[in-house]
Amino acid sequence: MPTLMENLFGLYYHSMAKTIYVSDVPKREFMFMTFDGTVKRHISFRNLEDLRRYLVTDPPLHAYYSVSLYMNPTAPMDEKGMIRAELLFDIDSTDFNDEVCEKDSLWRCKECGTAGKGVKPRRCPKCGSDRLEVNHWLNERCMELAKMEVRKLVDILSSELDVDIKEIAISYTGNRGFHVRVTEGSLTTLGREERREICFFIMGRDFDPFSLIQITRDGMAVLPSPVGGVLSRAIKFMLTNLDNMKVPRSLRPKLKAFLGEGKPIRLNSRERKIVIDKLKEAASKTGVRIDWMVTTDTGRLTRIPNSLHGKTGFRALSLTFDECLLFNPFTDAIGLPPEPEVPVRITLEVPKFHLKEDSFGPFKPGEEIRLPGHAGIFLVLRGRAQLLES
Amino acid sequence: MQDSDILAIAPFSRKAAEILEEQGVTIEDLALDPLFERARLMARERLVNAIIGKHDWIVDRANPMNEVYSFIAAKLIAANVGRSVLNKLAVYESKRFSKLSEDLPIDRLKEIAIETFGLSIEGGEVLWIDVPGFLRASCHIGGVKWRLVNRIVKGGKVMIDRADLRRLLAEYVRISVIETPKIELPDPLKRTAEEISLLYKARMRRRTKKPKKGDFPPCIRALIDRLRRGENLTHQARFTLATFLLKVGWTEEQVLDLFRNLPDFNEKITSYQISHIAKKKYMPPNCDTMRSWGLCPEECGRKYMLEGL
Repeated sequence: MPTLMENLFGLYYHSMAKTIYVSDVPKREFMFMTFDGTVKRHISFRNLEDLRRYLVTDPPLHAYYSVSLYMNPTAPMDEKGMIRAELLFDIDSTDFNDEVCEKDSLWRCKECGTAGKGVKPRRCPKCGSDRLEVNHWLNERCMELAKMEVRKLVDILSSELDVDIKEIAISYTGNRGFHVRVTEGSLTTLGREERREICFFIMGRDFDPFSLIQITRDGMAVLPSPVGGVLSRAIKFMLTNLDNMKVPRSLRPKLKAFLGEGKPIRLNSRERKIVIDKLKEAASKTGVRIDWMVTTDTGRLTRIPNSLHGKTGFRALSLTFDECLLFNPFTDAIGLPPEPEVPVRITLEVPKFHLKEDSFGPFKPGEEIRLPGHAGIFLVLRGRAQLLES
Repeated sequence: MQDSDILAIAPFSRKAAEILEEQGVTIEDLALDPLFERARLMARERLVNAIIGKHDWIVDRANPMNEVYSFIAAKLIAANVGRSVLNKLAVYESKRFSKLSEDLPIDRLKEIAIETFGLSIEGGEVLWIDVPGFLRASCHIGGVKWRLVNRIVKGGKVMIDRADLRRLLAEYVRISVIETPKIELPDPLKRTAEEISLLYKARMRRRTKKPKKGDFPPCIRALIDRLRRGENLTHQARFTLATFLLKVGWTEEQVLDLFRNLPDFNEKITSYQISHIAKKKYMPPNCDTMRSWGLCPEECGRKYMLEGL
């Protein structure tokens, strides 16, 4: 007997199955998590129609596909025979530790039970344990931060790595971030190590300015002139943000000559340290905050675009670059219908939130209320409410 | 520079392969035909030199095709003997090309890059190589200058100079030798393979205890695995392994024995380096450094390598 939630997910797939699109279906592995928590792996489909039919008849809580194309998608991992793999970048605002984005996130110490709101501390302020769990919330700020990263990423991919914009697919994850995929081209044939190099390049991580600075007879010089890449990004950023980056005034003329005009300069060791540190800081600021472990894992399974996210009930919507910049999940990604209303008991504090034109909350733990289906299920999936028998 | 010189310097090249195809030389010819006697001897010499680490790079310029035949025969024999010998031959061929290509004009280097390894190279004084082509080789080369993050990159191309191109090509040579498939060999070549295998085992006999892999962090386990497979390790990887193993209580002798698997193992140099590290009590690199060297395979949750040991 399907539960209410399964029925609502089923309704979505029934009307929206046509929007589900995955390329090269027969060569991919699929994975589904059912509503009772069972994981079904190593599944394959003959074609897109079969995949869509599966989602309608057996709607899952989470639906994933492999970024890799395989010779034998249903075989065990080491026998699948990888052909190539999309380059997947995961941008998740959970990793940003931003105060406004996290203002309604709730953390709790698993050791002593101490709880709090906002950015999760590194250790429990009471008992010092690092075993802290977090119930994240998402708001517009999280999405704005994530969009800034998408913008930087797409720019680096297209201008520095020469990826055709047609080969870049963007989708909302259905929760707190975006997935950006390079779907075709020579980058999709790269292995794990090469992918890590690409990630660090995009992140500006482990940048060593000295590798591009040479000592000449007239002093230090950037040679040859960096026309692209991390150093070039860092220099541009630094020269336009001298105030923000707190570069000492006395050093600025030298810096402009050195970095802006490519002239050799002499610096004492203290000045040299400042320049190098600031360049590293600028490299990481202009870099993109991605989870590199996701990109390097070619055996990765990732959410099917336009399927429903099992922690929000939101659609993992495929977006063009322009759509992404205007995107608001609370109006654009609602996947479940408002009908029927559902009775819920609030278990964790809920801030005021909007779904389409309607606003809900705030609610306190213990409150029992009836909410439109999409709002009630959203709270249940986020772990802040329990569904009551209607 | 004559065309025939290129064949001798780059016996792995597409041009060499095309000539072989035209001539219709088969593995049976290489094994049995008296015409290839000299090539068979040279193949054996390539393998022996690769195993004992002798690098004199004498080239048969009078008959450069012998370099091609012997290169092909040597890698087929090595693949037949096993991964460790194949790795040794790969490093040997890579170093051979690196040395012999010193005076090659840039156009010849570009030709090899494009025709043999399918790379895209543009420019003259300043060269530009396609990003995937750069990465496939640079990933295996140690040092900060080989990290993409420290390179000038534009429009899908990485800026390199002539020396970089030679180093990248040498790495491609190594990779291409390693990819040699193992095939059944005709008798005379099989006998050479057995002989080479015995020689290799005799060189390895001094190895003693197997290293314990217990609760070592994944980066160290990965390095030990690579070493056991006879793969080449960068200077940084060797330094990491030596400092770590000495810190967890291995003796200098035990560390030296582990390093015997290196394709370019040199007892005198390695033993000096290990004693130096032991004497100076160097610490293993921290995790940030390991990441910057490209030696961190996964986030294992340790704050430093020796945590919990």
